[in-house]
Amino acid sequence: MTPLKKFAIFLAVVFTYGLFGQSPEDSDDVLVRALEDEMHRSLTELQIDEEPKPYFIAYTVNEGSMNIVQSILGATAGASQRSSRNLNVALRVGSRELDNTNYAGSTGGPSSAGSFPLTDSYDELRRVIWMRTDEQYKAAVSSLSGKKAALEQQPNLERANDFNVEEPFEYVSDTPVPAVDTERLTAFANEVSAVMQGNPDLQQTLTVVSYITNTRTYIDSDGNFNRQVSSLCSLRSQATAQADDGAMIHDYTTAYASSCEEFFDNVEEIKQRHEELVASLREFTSAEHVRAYTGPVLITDEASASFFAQVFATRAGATPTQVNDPGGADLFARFRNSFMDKIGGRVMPSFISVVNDPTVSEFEGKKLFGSYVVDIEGVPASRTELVKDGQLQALLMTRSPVPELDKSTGSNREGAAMPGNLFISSNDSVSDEELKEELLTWIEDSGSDFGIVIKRFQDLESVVVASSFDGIRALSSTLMDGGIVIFPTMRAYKVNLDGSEVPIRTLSPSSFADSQLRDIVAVSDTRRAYNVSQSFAPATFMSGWLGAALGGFGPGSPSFIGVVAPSILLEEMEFQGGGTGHPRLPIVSHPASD
Amino acid sequence: MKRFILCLVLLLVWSGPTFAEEQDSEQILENMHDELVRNFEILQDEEKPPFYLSYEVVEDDAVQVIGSYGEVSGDVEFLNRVLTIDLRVGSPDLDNTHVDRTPQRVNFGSISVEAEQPMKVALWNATNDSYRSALSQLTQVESEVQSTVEEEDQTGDFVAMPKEDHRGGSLELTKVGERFREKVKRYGLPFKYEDHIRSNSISIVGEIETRWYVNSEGTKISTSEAYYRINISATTKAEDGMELRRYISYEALSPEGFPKDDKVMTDVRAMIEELEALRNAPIVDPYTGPAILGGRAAGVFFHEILGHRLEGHRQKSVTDGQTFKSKLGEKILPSNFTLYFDPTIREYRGLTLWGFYDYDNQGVKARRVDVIENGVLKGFLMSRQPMEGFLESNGHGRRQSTSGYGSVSRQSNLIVEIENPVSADELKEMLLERVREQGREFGLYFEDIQGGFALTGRTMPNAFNVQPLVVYRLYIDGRQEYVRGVNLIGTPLTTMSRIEAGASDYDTFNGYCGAESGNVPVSAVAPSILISQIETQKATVSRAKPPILPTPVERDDDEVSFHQHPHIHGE
Repeated sequence: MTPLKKFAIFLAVVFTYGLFGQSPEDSDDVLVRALEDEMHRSLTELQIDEEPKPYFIAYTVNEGSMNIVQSILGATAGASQRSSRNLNVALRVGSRELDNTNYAGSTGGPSSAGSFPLTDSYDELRRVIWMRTDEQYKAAVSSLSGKKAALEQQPNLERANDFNVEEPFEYVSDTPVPAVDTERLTAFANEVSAVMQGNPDLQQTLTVVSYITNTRTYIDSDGNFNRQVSSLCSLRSQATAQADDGAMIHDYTTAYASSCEEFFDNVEEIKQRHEELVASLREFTSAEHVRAYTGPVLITDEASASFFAQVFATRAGATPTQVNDPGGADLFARFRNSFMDKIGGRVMPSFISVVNDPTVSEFEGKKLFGSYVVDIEGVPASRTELVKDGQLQALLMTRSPVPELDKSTGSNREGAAMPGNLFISSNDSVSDEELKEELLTWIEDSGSDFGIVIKRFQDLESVVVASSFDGIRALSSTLMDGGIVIFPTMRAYKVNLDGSEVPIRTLSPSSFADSQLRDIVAVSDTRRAYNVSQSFAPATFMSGWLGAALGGFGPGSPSFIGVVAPSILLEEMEFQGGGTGHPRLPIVSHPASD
Repeated sequence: MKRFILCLVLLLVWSGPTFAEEQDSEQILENMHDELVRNFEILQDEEKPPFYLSYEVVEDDAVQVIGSYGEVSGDVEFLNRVLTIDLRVGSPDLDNTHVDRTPQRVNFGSISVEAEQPMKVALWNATNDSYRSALSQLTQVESEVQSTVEEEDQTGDFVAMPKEDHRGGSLELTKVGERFREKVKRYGLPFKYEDHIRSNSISIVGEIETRWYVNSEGTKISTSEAYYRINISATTKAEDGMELRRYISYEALSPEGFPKDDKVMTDVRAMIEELEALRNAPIVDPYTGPAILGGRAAGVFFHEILGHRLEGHRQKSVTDGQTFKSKLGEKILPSNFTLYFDPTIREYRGLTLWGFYDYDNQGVKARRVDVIENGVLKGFLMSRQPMEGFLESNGHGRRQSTSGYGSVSRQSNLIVEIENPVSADELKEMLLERVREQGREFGLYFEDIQGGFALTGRTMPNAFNVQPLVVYRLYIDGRQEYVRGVNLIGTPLTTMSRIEAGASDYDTFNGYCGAESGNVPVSAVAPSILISQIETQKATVSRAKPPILPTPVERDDDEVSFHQHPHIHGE
């Protein structure tokens, strides 16, 4: 499979559905009535023999539409439109102290009905809700039984309650869902991708523009109800060039907006980004190869946002204890967040503080896509001070308590506690120029000839496209060891002692330990906002879009973390350079060069 | 609320984008040809030049509506354009695809056909990638050949075929979304108030597949084919937990080719009744004895048991059982049985066929292949990979167009014809005669089969397993009784030798066949056949209980009447 094919599949999987609007204040809301009626019946009547009835039921309905256009060098390569509506059922039996969840041998999971009607037929909505609730109940009873048996064999296992009590919260969004003109979307995709046309340096390009709308209706038996509307217009253009020594150079540009109209209104700016993409690829085809590096590193621009999304966001959420069957592989223990033992301790330098705030939707005019009103368990989003003056203050929580933390912070996003918008700040910062001067000082002090500036890391999409061995290794280490993912660099520069910067080939960070966050020695006084596709947290990885990739399209919207971060200087990081075994250069010249 | 419904209707009738074709079909072919020639000629200067190169671009324009119980639950439109390249280095006797003679992954990916340069860049880049891969594969092949014993079949890896020049016109996907939605609702509604129905699915698909193909032999082909299909399936669950499924499909070359609604609704109601009967039917114990396979069932039987073993590439693979390789010229079916494959026909005895095409995926003209004449094995289905005694392709090199698999010999429209057939009633009489002779109470009648699989390798038993949908016992006294939980099993040579007779009641099974080169559309037409002895085994059973609570759906007789008699709607 070619890299771009993989990329297309990746996008098709990551970006899920959307929808048509339904008047939330409509008193005759058929969907809600069907959900409520079946919930009531299930709570009072659903029971197998002597087994307990459900004590909690939550229904989530995602309904939406998705438009995708693929364009290559100004011409359409593919397009699709789909409408869908999915039901997820979360059902608990037992008690809040001990229920069927947090059990590694669970036979059930979030249920997604494949045939939920698009139309508001009360009967047919009820039928699907009935069937899925029945399925989930049977699975829950089986899991609770297995979990109790497992716990009997492990009487000393330290665990908290399985589910907490939260104040009921109701919210109904009145945001209209912007429509999209598909022909205009196609024309836009072709117009921006045409910027890369006629360029013999580019071997492969693909532009994917998608528009996804989603209305999520959530209702549970604790009295929570919300309806949230979201829409996302996204663009990603990927391009590949080949250096003289055969090395394949990949790069990309992205854009996100709530409405595609924003794209259409800013087409010139987006075309400009494509020109920059081409320029960057050209720049990196002549990049130097660095065999290995250990020393000071300056991380700037979006690389800084990616860095915090990768190394800190994965540690920001508490992970409830999973009960394993005795003798079973303790796979989930690997995903236990090591920060859970560090609350009150210093995890960063004393001049850095970190706040998670999903209630903020903009930073200096830039929209933050990590903002939301209510999490997927119906708990309102809230501001959480995670790190103050370097000390870990708290972790993000879902409704599943952990020892010593029992209140949700409204942070359940994809089945795990995840940040919305991370704001990294400092009470001791310097200007960008001074930060670079500090880098040069650290280089001199370390006795090295040069240092490294990283302006962009690879992201998951580019790892997939490039079939990057190091990127895949970084991912697999997270999955297998619960380690921190830092993807290889995409735009990195060697900084000479005179301050000059020379582009270098991809460097792959060696393992990164929690303690290395304390190696940040300085930060800039300017902060920039970026939206980072959330694909680093192991829990997310397991339950989020990759799960959807394995089992078909999943519900919900693509997840982003908004990160507002300064540039940072680390005292030392260790990298390995790539190999030199590259594909041979094309024998036949590029069609555009004739 | 009204506003919402209006919004919904508007969205549902919206039919998606139209894609301007700035290059016409002929220009697309010319540009593909030009780029192929440019790349092929320049690469001839290399130390190991390609000896063959082909480009195939497939545009798949499709709409699908799905639903159940009278409601629509999914609505998809898509347009895919995919390029596949077959580039070979070495020589026809030994090329880069040689390893184990199984289909290689070939280079494929998205492509645009709207403009010249984007298309040529994609062709150039894919050729570059393919050439690099082919060189690497050839090195591995040469190394492997050095280190393994000489192969039994020395016929090489590839045969050249005559240049073809064909333009098959251009079809467009009709705006059918709204009509499909209405049909999905109508056909699903009868299931709504039937308590024994556990699930049902109505899917209607319309698809236009347009292909442009060029190769280094000078072939230029463009074809455009329409595929329209209605799938209706439903399940029920017996008290013991066994899941039972019934399935019907209708294929057509245009939306107008679908049967009238009355016919479909009659079939749907028959399906509902049949599922009720099957649900209450006894489970049959493992059985050996005489049986009739109805036309559709017999079609699947021949496809699985015989058809796969007549695919030429299997006769060369050292891992394949090669069941019929040494049977050439021998009688393997009764002497009044003839079996052939014919991809050139779209209809047979009024039955719509699905395994048709004008040219295969290797640019070879489709043709009828008589594989069994008067019971005697005469040939095999051939791609461009030759085998002893069969050094040419007969137009059966196929693959799933957008899969990235290499082409291998695959089935098309399988037709079984019988000289001097008996009537269906006479065939049943013959069955009961065998039942009496064997001292049994009943024989089995396999009316319909959902599919099956055949193991043709050497490491596993060379057997087949066919999963019936509808089976009943035929008692000596003429009674019929549905049974359930039975799979038809056996080995090919023994089972074929026990075919005794065939009737004149032809029926067809249309579907997609999955094998090494992906899913390809196929048909199997056959009459009912009598087999003197078959063997069955118990089918898998789900242990899941039926739902604990009763259905929340209350019957609305007015609604049922309204939707089952749609002519009332206009009055």
